[in-house]
Amino acid sequence: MKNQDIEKMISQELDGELDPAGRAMLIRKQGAVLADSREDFKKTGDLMREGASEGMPTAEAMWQDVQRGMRVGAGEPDKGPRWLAPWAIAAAIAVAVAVPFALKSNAEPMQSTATVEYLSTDLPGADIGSYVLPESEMTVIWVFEEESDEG
Amino acid sequence: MDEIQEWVKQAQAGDEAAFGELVKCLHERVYAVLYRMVGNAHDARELEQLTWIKVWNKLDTFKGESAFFTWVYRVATYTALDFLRKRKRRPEMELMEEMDLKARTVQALPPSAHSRPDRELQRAELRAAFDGALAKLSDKHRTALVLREVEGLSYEEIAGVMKCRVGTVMSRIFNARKAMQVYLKDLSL
Repeated sequence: MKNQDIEKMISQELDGELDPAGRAMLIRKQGAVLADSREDFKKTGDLMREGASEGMPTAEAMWQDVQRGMRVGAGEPDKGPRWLAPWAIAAAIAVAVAVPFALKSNAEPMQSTATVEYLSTDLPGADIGSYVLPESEMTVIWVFEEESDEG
Repeated sequence: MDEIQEWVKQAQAGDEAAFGELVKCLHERVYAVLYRMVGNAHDARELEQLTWIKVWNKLDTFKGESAFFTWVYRVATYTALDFLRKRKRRPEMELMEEMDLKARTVQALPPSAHSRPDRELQRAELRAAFDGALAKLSDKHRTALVLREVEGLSYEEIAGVMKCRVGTVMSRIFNARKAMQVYLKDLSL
């Protein structure tokens, strides 16, 4: 049996996932090199657990964050009116300018190559959508951002 | 666990306070997993918030076929993996600034009242080096290792969260450990 196979068994054994037959074999096969591997694997686990709560907010603070997010998601009125983000307006203007230009400059109908399968945005509470301009088959993507109370 | 099931039922009926109990009860565990997946407190906090909002919005789809925490981890894991995919596309300069900030944070860590400052600094450096090594793992390998080491999930539970076979989990965890062994040896840890 190769050292790597025994190391795999050590890994399983540390996780409590090795059956009794495997454990018996492991006891017979272990040597100094493999003992080092066991120590290294354990050290990795210890270090991972040690720093995992760094910067952790309190449970109450997290619940407040979540509630705030839930309100934004539900579009409650206390978050104020919806506004277009300046860059969303800029994008809309760019499309408005680009579409007539594209239509004029291409006598041949454009080939549709873009397929939107998935849209997402990092902006909390933002709405996102897309549609295809029927004449040019240009795909337009809109992002509407909600203005937050925090400014 | 019975308490959790009760809160889940109440939350599914629209009880926000019961949902709050679930958040507070599982918060530490979810945060720890996310922190280890993304490597910094700011992103971990935002992703935890996003995870719980997704959980709230999808609560009616939870049918109790798996444990509630396994289901929450699945949402958290996919949220973090999606974030990591997007982060990889960020400009290199932005990432360098983030790493620089992290290094400066390590240097500025205050010593605790009961330890010597040089030992504290050594510990902080060790943690930073370890975090750097962990970041080199592929997202899937790191996720499997985090769910095992930080959260103590069984291979079967991890397979449920990551939607893969138990053998794949075993192999990912072993390969992640071997890679960390090499990185840590290079760092003389």
